[in-house]
Amino acid sequence: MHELSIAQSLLDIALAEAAEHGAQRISTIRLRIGGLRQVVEESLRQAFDILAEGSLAQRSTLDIDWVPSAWRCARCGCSMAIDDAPDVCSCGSRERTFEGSDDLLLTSLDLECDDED
Amino acid sequence: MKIEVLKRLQEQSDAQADEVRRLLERHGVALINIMGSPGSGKTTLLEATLSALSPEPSALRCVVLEGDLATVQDAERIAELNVPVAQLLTEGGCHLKPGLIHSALERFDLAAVDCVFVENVGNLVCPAGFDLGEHARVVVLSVPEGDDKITKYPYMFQRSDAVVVSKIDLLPMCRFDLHRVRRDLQAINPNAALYEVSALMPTEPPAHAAKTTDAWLHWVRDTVARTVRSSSRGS
Repeated sequence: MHELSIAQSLLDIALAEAAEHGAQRISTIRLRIGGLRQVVEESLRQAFDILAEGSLAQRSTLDIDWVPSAWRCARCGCSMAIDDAPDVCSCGSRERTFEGSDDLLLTSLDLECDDED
Repeated sequence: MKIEVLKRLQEQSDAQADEVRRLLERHGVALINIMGSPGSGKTTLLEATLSALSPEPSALRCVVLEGDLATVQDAERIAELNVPVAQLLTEGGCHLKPGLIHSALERFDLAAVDCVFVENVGNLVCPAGFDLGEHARVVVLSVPEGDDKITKYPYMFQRSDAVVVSKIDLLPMCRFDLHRVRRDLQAINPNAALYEVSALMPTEPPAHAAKTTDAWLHWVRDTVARTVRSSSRGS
């Protein structure tokens, strides 16, 4: 459940940005999360909804850009997901390399402000 | 109105971790963050390591911060060795955070300390992503857990400086291919050191394990010496 810590930081940063821009509501929060973080989407959304209740971020849409991480077979080059990578690739090779992202970023926000036309 | 933010979610946590590192480096103290599954043998490895590091004339002055969801059992085990210890309870939290480390460190006279060992909450996922202000990260992987852990929890092992394969005396009884562990670690983190230990059988472990237990202790001393050299105490 590191999702709770992540949701709290996400909310803190979003609210600070919203306050700085004098926003009345945050309609969308865009995130980039690397597969290495092994974040469970449902847990993150649930934690965020609970924490955001009563704030400017209540009912904000979380738009998540998932950056995949995977093992790659060193012989045939096929990609194997972290979650179910076999011990031996179907080509028979055990040699592999790893390609992963540990991004954990708030990329942008859609804010609703009173003085907007 | 769309605004670009591009902020790391862990900015604040990382800043606190840097504060911990600065505090330690002012006193020339190294912090080693020990992670691993529940039951992997983190506390037992610590007990054996602390006992091996305590004899004079080359004694290291150690402090332990024990992280757990509940109970003070681990802290009691460390206290029996007469090593100063604080139990950090996360009350359900699945990993330690740098702020908790900072406030715990304030309880100790850091001028009289060489090395702080932090035993993180038993978990191969959550602690991996949180910098505590450490100088080195260790993952304890026990033989009974199985040899597939690096494949399943790549982030933890990718960010480690050393992997300690514990309970190595159980190899004949478990399906654990040490070659696979070496191969997976090489693929994901070629710079990490790997040590095989049998902490509960320090007097008669398999001959090879005895050798790598010494290498593990050497690694700890080296990590501390490197930190002291690069800190204000060393210069």
